[in-house]
Amino acid sequence: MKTNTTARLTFILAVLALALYLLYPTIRLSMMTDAEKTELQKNDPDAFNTLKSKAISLGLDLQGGMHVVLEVDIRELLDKLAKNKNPVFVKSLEETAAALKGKDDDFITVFNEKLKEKGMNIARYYSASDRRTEDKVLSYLHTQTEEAVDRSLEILRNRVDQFGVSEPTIQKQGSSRIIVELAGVTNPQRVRKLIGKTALLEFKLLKDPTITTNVATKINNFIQSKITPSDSSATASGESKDSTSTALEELFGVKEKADSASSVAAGDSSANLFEANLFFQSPYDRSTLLVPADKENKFKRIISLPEIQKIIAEEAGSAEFLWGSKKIQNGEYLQVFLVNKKQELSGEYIVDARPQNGSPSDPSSAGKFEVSLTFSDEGAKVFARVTGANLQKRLAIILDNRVVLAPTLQAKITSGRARITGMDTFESAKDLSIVLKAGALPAPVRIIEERTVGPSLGHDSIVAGSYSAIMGLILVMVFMALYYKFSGVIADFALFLNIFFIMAVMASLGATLTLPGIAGIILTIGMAVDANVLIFERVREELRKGKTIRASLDQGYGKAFITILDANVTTFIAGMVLYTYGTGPIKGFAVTLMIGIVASMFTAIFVSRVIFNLILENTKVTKLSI
Amino acid sequence: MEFFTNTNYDIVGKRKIGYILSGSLILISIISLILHGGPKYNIDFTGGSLLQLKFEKDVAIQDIRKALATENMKDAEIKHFGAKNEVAIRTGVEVDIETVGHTIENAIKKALLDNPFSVERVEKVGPKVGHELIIDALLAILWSMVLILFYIMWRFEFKFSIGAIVALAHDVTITMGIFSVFNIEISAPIIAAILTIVGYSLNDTIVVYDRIRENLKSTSKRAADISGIVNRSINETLSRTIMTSGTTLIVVVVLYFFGGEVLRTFAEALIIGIVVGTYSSIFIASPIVIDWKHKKA
Repeated sequence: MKTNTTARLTFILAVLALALYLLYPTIRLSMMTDAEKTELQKNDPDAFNTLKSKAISLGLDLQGGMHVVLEVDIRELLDKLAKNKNPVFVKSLEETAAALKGKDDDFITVFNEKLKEKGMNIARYYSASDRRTEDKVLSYLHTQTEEAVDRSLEILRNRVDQFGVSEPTIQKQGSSRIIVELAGVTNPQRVRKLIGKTALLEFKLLKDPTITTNVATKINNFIQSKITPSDSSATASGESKDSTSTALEELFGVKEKADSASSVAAGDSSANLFEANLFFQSPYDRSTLLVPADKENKFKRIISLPEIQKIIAEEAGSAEFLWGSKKIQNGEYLQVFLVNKKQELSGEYIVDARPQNGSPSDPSSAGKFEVSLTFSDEGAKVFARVTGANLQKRLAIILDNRVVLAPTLQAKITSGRARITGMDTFESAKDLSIVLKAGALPAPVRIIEERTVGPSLGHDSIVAGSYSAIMGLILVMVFMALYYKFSGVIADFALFLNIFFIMAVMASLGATLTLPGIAGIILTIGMAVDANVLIFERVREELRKGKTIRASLDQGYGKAFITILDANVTTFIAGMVLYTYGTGPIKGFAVTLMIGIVASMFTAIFVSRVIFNLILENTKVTKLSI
Repeated sequence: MEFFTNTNYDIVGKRKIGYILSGSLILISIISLILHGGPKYNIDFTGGSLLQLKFEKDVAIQDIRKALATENMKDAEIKHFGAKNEVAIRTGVEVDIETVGHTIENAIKKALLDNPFSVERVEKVGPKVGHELIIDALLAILWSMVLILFYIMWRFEFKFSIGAIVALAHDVTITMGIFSVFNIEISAPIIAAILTIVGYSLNDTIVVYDRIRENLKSTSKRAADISGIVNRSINETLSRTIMTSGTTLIVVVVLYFFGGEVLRTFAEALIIGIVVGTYSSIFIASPIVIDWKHKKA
């Protein structure tokens, strides 16, 4: 009996030593001040990283940070990959998107069904020599999606790495989602832009101003023809708002109240679309059209009309309207450019991008910031050819389908360098250079979930959580000691060990401590004593029956064990289910809950029993303090 | 110190009182849930955005509402969060989650120039994600119930698992009902709390069942008076039930008061659940075993 106890005691001490060893990095790290941490990180980065990886890491809700879930836009990808697009294609794509709102079905499958409903075979849009059948096309599209997600993941990783956040987590979730977790981010807005941007850089030629003028006039005439003659009789002259806008309006010679157009077309919703003063040609730059900022959507719908597309095709050939990236005139107007559809050069050729200060000698860039681009050799050749062949023309620099700049080509550029100028802050120049260098995403990504916690809230949560844990612990310990006297103290010791073990197991599993995780530990404090309560109540019963101390303890522990096991298994099942279906912080809660259950079985049953045995074997106990 | 030792309350005999009380509570819960059109879900499930701002000085809800009205966010829900200088702003799915934070920040910055603020917390959930979370939560509750049912069936008899599941459904319904009556939102952590309650309440129930099983074994078949045994078992475990619930309540109440605003509703759910769960394991789960047996016999 005695050797048995010694063996058990040795085992407990070994477990304790192991727990101490596992917890040492956490304890050491938490004792270090911020200055000491920076010091160690500088002097011995390896040691620092090992220390950090072995310590319990804090969840984003505790240390502050961003958790973002991005979804790769499969609709855009399908649109981009398709050839021979027709109205059925566009309509099916729209219907699929609408049908899938709030659902998680596979976009490609549903899209295929929608096409079939309309008697169209998906192979029509995506077939190639090696894929003619529907099945092959579908599997091709699925692979493309997978690849797009994987490539996006890599690109996002590059971007985040250059942004300089410590220990970012970037991982795939499901088939089309990417989770980005960044600790200690101070400017979430900036990160959102950095990871949300497609960063597709293109160089396209601007259409000649005379062509732009022609197209604009024809479109305006078309709009005019849709408005009744009586309305259009009002001409630009009197009722002016301010001199600038009058000047703009005079170019197209129409001026009337915006609402009048809609009154004409009562009953016909599409007629609402046609409205005079929808856009103007800039008086200063004939290549630029201006659209009042509040009429952006109307203009978008107008230019997508087949009639307008016909006008563009007839007058300008293969060209399209693209929005400018900035609002002008105090944000009242948006810029629109008519550009060649043909891409002269793209961001793929960029080998380096650096932020820099604008040159002080150039009045347009002085005091501003810019990004200097370096093309690969091949890109430099293309760039030289394009710039040489189009002197005095304007080359639009287009980022994510918006015209950032459209400088006039003054000379052939052979250096393979270009600058994107006019940024207001160094930060925005730096971020742009990061995304350009990392490359464009194969398809746009959308933020579908974001959770950001500021560092001070995180800190407050740790303080509040630890405070509650300590206070709960003390109260429970006092209560146990009062109710079960010396036995209660043994249970308290077991409880204390329990918390210690939970932390050690968490450290060894590399688990993350979250705020709900702290709640889980606190809850465990309350529930862990349950095992001891069950045992002690049983022992009391046995003692009441007049049994000896040893017999009572044996009976108490023996009978209570099955109950404890059954009761804990059910809670453990709930924890397992939570872990399976929960996300992020909830998983953290489930983990602490489960570890807590296992640890409490060990401490409350095994450890406390050994302590009782030790006491019984080494002292003459006549009355059990329970 | 000892409480509830050698008690002999006639719980089984008076079980009708428990049934009536529980029946009424469940009825009230269901009526409230129907009147409110189901549980009040937070953005975790409905989708939408939540911004928690901390101002340097106290701030009036009215001022923020005014600032946001110009941004077409009249329907935003704005309330103080913990302190008077902290507010939580909630918008629905109709506001684009990619830009909402920016828009709100700018509008308030412009309107309250003399009271700078920092963004403490941002939560944005797209409608699709919210929908999936609801499904996951329902699956989680369903699966845990099924698994636990099987475990109890394996360890005990079928009628015990019926009692346990009835008690469980009872606890979950009443907890949701109380949330509904007090108009508290169901968030992802609340679902976690409810699942914990599921486990916890069963914990209590099983302790009593275990004693019933033990007492059934030790009593000779002929003398078996099931009502008497169940009542004795409840009384024998009463002291333990109250003790454990007591210690758990202590820590959860501490969590409620000192755990911070974010964990408060979580603690609230646990407090309600522990009280209801303890009650049900004494007054509902075990008495049902008797009635089920009588009906069968």
